[in-house]
Amino acid sequence: MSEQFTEFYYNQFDSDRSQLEQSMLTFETSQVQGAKDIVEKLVSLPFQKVGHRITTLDAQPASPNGDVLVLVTGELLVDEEQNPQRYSQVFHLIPDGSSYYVYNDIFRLNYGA
Amino acid sequence: MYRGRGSGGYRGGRGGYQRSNGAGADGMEIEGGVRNNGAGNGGRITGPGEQLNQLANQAVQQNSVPVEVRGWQGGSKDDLVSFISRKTRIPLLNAVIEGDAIKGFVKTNRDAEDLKKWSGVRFAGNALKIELPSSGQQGSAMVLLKGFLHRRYNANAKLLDLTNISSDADLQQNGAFSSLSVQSKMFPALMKLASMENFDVESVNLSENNLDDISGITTLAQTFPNLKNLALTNNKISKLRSFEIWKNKFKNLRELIIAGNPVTTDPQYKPTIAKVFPRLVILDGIMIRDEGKLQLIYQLPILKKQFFFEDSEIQTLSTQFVSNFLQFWDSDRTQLLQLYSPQSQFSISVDSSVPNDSNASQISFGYYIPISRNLSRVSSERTRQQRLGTGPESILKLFQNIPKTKHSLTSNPELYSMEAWRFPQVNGFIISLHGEFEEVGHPATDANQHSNSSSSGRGGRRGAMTNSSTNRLTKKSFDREFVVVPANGSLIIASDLLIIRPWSNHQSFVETTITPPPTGEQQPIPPQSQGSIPGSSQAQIPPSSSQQQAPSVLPTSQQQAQQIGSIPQELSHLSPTQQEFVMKVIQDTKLNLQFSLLLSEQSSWNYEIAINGFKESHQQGQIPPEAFM
Repeated sequence: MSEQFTEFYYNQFDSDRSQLEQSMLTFETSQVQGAKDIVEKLVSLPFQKVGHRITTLDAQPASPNGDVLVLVTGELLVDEEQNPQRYSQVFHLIPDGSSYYVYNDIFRLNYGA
Repeated sequence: MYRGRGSGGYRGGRGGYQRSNGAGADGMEIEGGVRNNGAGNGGRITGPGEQLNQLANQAVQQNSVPVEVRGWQGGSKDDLVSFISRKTRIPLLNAVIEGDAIKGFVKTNRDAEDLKKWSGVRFAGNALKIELPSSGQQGSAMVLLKGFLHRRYNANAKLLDLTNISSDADLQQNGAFSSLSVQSKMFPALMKLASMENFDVESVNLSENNLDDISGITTLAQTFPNLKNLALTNNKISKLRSFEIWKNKFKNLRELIIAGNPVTTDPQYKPTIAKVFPRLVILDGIMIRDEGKLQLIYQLPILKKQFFFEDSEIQTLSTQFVSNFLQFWDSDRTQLLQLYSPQSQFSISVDSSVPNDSNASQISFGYYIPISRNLSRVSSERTRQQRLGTGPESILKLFQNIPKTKHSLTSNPELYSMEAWRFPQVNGFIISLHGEFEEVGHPATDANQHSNSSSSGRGGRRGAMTNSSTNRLTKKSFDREFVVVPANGSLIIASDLLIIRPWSNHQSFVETTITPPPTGEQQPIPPQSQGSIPGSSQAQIPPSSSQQQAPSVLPTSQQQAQQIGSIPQELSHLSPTQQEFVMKVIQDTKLNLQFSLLLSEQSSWNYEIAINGFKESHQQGQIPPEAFM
């Protein structure tokens, strides 16, 4: 499940950020709430072309209600830049019928180049 | 890829890189290449390069041959220097007192020999003993190399010109570079000496040294990690792969010249070099990256905050939790088991792909890899389950498989980054912790010896290949997520995910923008009112009690009034649109500058949210009087 999710999420992010709908996002601890604002925030990030490369992925159930915590580290490839930025990202997923929505998304650059 | 103007002519103009006169002539290339975008210049180096060349030649002339003078104690050092200059007409340069001798330099070997003949001359009542600390004496090679380095260092240009080292007359005379094998040992020694001399070097020229590989000069990266320009022109480097050893090493290298080496004909030459040197802008006189864009990428215009807590209660709870946890994690992990319930889960993943910032040349993950659950690598469902610790007993096994550690959160909080969020569905909170630790002891048990027989799949074989004797203890970095839930008056860790990676410095935690209000507190986030959960888009106005505002920094209402219409300095870090936004909030709410700014930021620059949040909080009496102008 967590693999499917991250694959979907990063594919969407890298191809068309405006289609991501979720409820809370933290990008380098600048807090954004609400699906509309989050999408605005994502679209306003200063890159045209983005690629993600996952290096680690781990996931655990976070509550008896079926919440899942996904922890990813990876490389963020911005525009034509070949040198990746290293980041870690946490997704707190909450079940919603047969799918999940992102309740919290915490992104952090990990590596001061 | 971006090509600089005039670059098309570069190949044809490579003649510009041919050495035309003595040692040091190539010093110009580095600077010259950078400015090589004038129309029609075709890569030929003129102008600034010529000046640099002259400077380099001057440097060669100076400070060349070391001499030692003893028996001078009847007078002062300065007396001696002027005495020698007067008497012998040979100036003694850069004289220093070392032990019982005054050591200095003369310009040439001939001067040195001439000066030596003056040995025995009387100075201040004593006979001077003048010696040349060269061959036969201990440390003579050091003196020789030191003299060479000083000849080749140009402090004004911050240039260390090591062009054609073996042609150096002084070194030649002393047989220092008679063979290639000697040369390969000589370079690391040169680098070591250069470190000791504390040269301020931005550019190094290693052209024309018959180098057929990088391996002999890798130490350059340790001595000059912040090098900006490097020339390796006209060597014999043929293997592209040999550059890999410098990957992630020269983080500030801006210009590199490799022209005149066989390696430049490799079809992968440019992309590979660009990858090895992430901030390289100019390669062989051609622009390969847009410098402005590069800067933008490395300075993401995003607020970076070291610590973030959703509210003050979470802040207290989570900081206490983390400092206690790490204390036991370092001293006795069994003490932590009471925090894990039978349903609690713990897993480790290894991210070895991150560049290693530490000096440790080899960094080992041998202890972690056999238990790494990284789902992007471990595909076997059975292995995934095996590597997920559930309940205190199986969690302890994992704890004991990893080295003993030492964290310095309390003494060096700047090396750590942390944030904490409420998890209202379980009345708990989520903590993200990033930082570093020192491995101080081998694990209580070694997964390499225990789990091989039981583990299966790819990961198991990988573990089997790891020899525990090679598991060196080093400094490492980590990311960790805790889901903490209060239960029966204490706390339970429901989930615990740990990522181990090579050590990286804490640059990425250094805050880039100062966020108001400037209270001196690290977490200027106001406590939220009761019952408010993340996900609601209500903008909060901080109550006055817990907000440690320094009244002196609050503008008076008079100042405030004057500031309307002009943009206050406090807003200078914002974009013009954001400045306008804040000014409008001030006008419409009559809140003072700082609270208006806070409100604006918390609304994520959504005006409707800001105003509605303001009205709601105002109605509930949550806005303190001092928040207004």
